[in-house]
Amino acid sequence: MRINWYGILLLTGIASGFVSATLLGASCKIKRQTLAYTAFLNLLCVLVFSFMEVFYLSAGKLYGMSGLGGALGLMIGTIASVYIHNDHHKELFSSWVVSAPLMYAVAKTACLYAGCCSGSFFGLPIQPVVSLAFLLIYIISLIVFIRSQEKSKAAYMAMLLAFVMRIVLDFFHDSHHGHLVSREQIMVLVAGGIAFILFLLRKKLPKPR
Amino acid sequence: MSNYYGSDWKCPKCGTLNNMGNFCAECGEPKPAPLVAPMYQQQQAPLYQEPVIPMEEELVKPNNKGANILCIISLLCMYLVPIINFVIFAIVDMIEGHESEVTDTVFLIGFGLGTIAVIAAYILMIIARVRYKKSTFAEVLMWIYIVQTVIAVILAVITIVACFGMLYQCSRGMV
Repeated sequence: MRINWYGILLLTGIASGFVSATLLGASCKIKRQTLAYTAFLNLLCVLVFSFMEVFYLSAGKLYGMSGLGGALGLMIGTIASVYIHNDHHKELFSSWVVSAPLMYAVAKTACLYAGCCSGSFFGLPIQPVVSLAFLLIYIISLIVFIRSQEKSKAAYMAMLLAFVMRIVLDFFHDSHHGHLVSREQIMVLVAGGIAFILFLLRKKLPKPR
Repeated sequence: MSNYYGSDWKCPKCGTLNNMGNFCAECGEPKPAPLVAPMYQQQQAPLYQEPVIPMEEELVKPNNKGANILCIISLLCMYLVPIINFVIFAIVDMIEGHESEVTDTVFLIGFGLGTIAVIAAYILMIIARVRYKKSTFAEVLMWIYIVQTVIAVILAVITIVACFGMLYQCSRGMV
């Protein structure tokens, strides 16, 4: 049987993010039960929403996995877990948000292997550039997470940097050619807008138990 | 009531009950002196009684009603909603035909609702497990969901790794 490296790299990306988030959570003394349930729910949400985005945007004609759908699933799973468990909610939220760029960075190498999400960044293929950029975001936000007492800062920084990077790097994708603003950018803007509204309303939202 | 300590008393000599005065109405025996120590103990007992501390099991005794409601809703979301969706889709498919836009739309809506219901089922199970730790129903449900998730993930991994079609789909569907 020929090995499908695309699938393996994709799963490695998801696994690396989960390991990172769980280790960060454990370092903040989050209970093992909370970590396990959060990982379980997030795995489900990432796979389901990642698949559903491609499936629904193609009106049921295509099957595949999408990074943006996965990010949406991760946010839904993490926010649900924050409200379910009364256990270091800021640390729990931040550990997953900070780890998301790592997931994306590793998963993008699968695209390089498969040749999808193609584009050119000053003569270089766009996929490794995206990978490196998101790896950098992960490292920066990880340093902030480890050094800062206020873990939410790392999460907000990771979200902001990922949002900007995702919009900017999309201009170099082949799918962007011929469009002033691509469908991807619109979706990232919508997701960023929702995240920003949640950020503004964070003190008015119900507190975790 | 007949005793030495109340207003009425029982004669210790002849056993006459309900004497009210200081002497027995039957034999004239004087009323016995009240037993101070037992009376004191009886009156003061509540003051010295140690508070009853419930055992740990009693403190965390589950409200099974709440857990059961969550688990039943979770089960309905997990299995009933997808079945209803499938039945509706099958009926529409029979009426409208396989290629109809209506059938496609019903399938997409049903698939989306079914998927959201499944996620809601997992979330409800987790809430039941976290809030009602001793609920057996929630624990059994958790293991059922874990087993079915593990099977689903193994199947998905096999499909992703082995199916070369994914490579083709990536170039069309990955974003």
